[in-house]
Amino acid sequence: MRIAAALLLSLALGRALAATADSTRALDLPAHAIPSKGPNTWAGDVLEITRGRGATLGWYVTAQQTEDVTVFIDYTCAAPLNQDYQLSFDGLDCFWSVTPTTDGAWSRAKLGTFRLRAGLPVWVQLVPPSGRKYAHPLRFRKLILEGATPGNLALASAPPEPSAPDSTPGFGKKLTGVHPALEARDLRWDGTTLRISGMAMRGPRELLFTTWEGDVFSLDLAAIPEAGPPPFRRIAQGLSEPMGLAVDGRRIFVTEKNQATELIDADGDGTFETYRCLSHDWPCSMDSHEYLFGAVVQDGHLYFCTSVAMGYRGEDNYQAPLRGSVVKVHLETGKTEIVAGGLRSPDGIGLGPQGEILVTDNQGEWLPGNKLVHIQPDAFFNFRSLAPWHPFDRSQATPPAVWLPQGEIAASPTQPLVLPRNWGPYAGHVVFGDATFGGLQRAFLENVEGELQGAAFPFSQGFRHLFHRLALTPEGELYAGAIARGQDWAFIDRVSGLTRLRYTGQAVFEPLAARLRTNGIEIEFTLPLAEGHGWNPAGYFVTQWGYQATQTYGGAKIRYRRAEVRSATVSPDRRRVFLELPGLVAGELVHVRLPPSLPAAGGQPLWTGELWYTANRIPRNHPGTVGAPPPHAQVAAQPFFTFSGGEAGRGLYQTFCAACHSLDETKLVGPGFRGLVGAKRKVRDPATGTTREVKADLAYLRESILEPNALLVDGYSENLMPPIGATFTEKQLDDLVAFIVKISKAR
Amino acid sequence: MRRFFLCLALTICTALFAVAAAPIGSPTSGLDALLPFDRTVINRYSLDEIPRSLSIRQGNDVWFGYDLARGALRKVWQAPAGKLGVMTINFVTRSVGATWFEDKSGETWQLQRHGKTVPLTLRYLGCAQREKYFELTWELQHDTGTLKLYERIARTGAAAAGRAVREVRVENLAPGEALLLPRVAQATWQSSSDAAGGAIKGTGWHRLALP
Repeated sequence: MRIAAALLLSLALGRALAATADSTRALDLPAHAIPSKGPNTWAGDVLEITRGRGATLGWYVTAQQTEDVTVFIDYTCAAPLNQDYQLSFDGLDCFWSVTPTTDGAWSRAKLGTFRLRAGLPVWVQLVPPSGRKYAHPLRFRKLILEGATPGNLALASAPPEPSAPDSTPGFGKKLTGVHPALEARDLRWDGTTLRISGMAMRGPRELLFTTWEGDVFSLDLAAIPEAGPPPFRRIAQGLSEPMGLAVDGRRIFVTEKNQATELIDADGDGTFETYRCLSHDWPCSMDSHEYLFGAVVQDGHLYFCTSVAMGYRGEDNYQAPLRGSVVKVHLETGKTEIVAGGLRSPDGIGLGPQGEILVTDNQGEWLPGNKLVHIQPDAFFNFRSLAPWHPFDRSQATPPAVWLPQGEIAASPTQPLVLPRNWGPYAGHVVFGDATFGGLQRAFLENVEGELQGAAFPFSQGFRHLFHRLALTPEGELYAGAIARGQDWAFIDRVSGLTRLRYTGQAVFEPLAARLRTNGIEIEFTLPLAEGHGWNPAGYFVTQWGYQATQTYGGAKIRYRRAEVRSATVSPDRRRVFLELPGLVAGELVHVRLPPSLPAAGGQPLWTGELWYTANRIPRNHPGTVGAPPPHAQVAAQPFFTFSGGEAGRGLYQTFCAACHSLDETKLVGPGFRGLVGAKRKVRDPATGTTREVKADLAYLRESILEPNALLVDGYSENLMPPIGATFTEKQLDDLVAFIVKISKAR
Repeated sequence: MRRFFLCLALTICTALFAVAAAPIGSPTSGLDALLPFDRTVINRYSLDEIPRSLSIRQGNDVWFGYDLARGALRKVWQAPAGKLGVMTINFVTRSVGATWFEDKSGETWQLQRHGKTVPLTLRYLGCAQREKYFELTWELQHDTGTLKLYERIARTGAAAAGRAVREVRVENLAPGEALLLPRVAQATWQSSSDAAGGAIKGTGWHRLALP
């Protein structure tokens, strides 16, 4: 009897212990702990979700040791949804097709199993369908993470967001001037708007370019007069929205809206009487945004990109299959192959330093930032749609070679091009334009254990045009064709056209390259640093973050934090500085800010002082050299960076607003900000369809940022503005509103 | 009606923020009669919501609209007096005028072999502007080989034979094979040669007229 009693007691105790262990193996991620509910409503601790747009349902989670965790959701939902929920778990995704529940009873569904890495906080985000509003809510109470190790999982708070140092052009703020080593000439043709969409050289002195309107122009570069309009000559017309042009010998290929085309002049009369369809072997719709972007010829094939639809997606977010691909077409047979997928709006394709195919892609759905990607066979870059979507779609997406953070270094990046030998220290670097951000940006790429990755640098602004397509002459002259969209034809006319750029060889002091090491990053400069300078780690403001792609527009920085710079070591030739960064994390970006006060040996000031490095892979056995500062190392008399606090709003504006809202009256996609605050606005309430006049006060600004669809300015459509406010903290929202108020009053 | 409003909304959206067309009369709008592919006689923008399509003018006011992916004539219409038969808005076109022929069936050409029908896979190969006509070309793959289909539209007005006239020719037909016009066209277009019942045989041009 005693034995039996002891056994029963033992069993009961065991069950109790097991129950305790079970509860400590799981972690609740409650609805009430999310950063932003968006337009959804609370019912106590339950979030009633009708719309994903604007909501951020996310949590930071930590684990003491790496383990597999299974994610469950507690919910009710009265009827099926026609789009899936996405669970983004540390960059990996699963999709959940919601099973309706009955009579409002709570149900628990398994979403997926993921590996949770130890140490760093990991971001877990539930992403509702964003493209539409549902009449019936999904009532959400919590996610549950279930692991195997008792006490292993914990909720974590977001890392403290670093305050941005005060900025000047090139140092935290977009450049304003032309690079000192560039000579630019605007090849204006007054009275004619040239929206240049494709560009290539035919022979050493003839530049060909297409326009969005469907013409092909020829320009004899040797015949450009010293002053006055260049002798543009139209040689073809009637193309359908060409967005790429390539020349192979004397053959001309154009990527039109729905087909790749060869222009043929069979009778040799100088005009193209045959438009040969090289290929149109992929699905398309009537969507205005389905383009074929760019064109390059390599190894007897034409390469170009297909973009995804923006309007004709249907209520279920359907895309025509195979959109967002890199396509390869044989020049003779027209045989067509899909090389890579998962792109969104890849408005630039070009060859890299070693003949690699590089593509730029634009921030948006599934792209939390802009990208420069290295195209490899079967690569998948994360843009997703409904099945049948893309044969290359997979959970583990290929990372970009270089992230180009929105508003910081890019907004609509365009064609990449490798600079030639006669461009001095910049030879072999990649430059690309931007159809919104403007200017030319530069990327330095390195191969780290088989992975092409690198850093982006500001290079030049100060051009009238928004560069879209680039072509080099054999002598190294760079021709840049520009384009603009929107409704403001005065603006479009101003920023479209052709520019000639010449590299003058002038020595300019700036960070030239960045190379990742096992324990940090090495920055190479164009000129030696002044003796004794560069040794102080406080002279480098370094931040780190990651990105996670979601089906909603854009995305916030994940784990955005200040990085520790343990030491700074200047090389013996003073052209390189190694920053020891003990907190490097594979897959994250490293942003380095330099102070304008860092001098060159010759006394030249820095032209720019920042770079963004994408650390997809950290080299395993390639440490940077850490050295002690020499006795004569300079002690800073002034602080390297100041933090007056006024920069946060500007930074947010640049990142989230600048692509669509100018700081003056210029209409881009949305209205300009000057004179906005205090003005009367005619707005439409899409819920009721009624229009009324409101005063653009602080409350109106906040609501417009948090829920852009709540009140629509007359003449602008629903969903035009992304729900950028969803990712803001209260402080960020205050900072941005304060900046808009300030800029609104500026003369 | 719902579809109409959807299309209208999308058109407005497009005009607002996606792509805006050149203003009418822009120096680069492509109206240059000296170069081939003047949009007043051949317009390669999508027609009537068919992504891969084009429209060709015959004579002064007769327009042919082709569904290029289907290899089929989609529509023939007469433009309003003194106006173009296509209206261009934001890089797409709509046919304008009186419809003479329309094939919304979605059907395409068929290969007939000894009385049996063989399915075809079509591929558009391009278009050419000649002095007197426009020519469209397709490749038609079947189980044992590939045909090449040519269709041409004279640039001048149709003869007395019909209101609109087109010519077709096919290469690589084997003995016992014939190429059948899409079903709707079979019932409408009259052949002046041996294309009885819409069956194209041999290698010569077949003239088809719309009565």
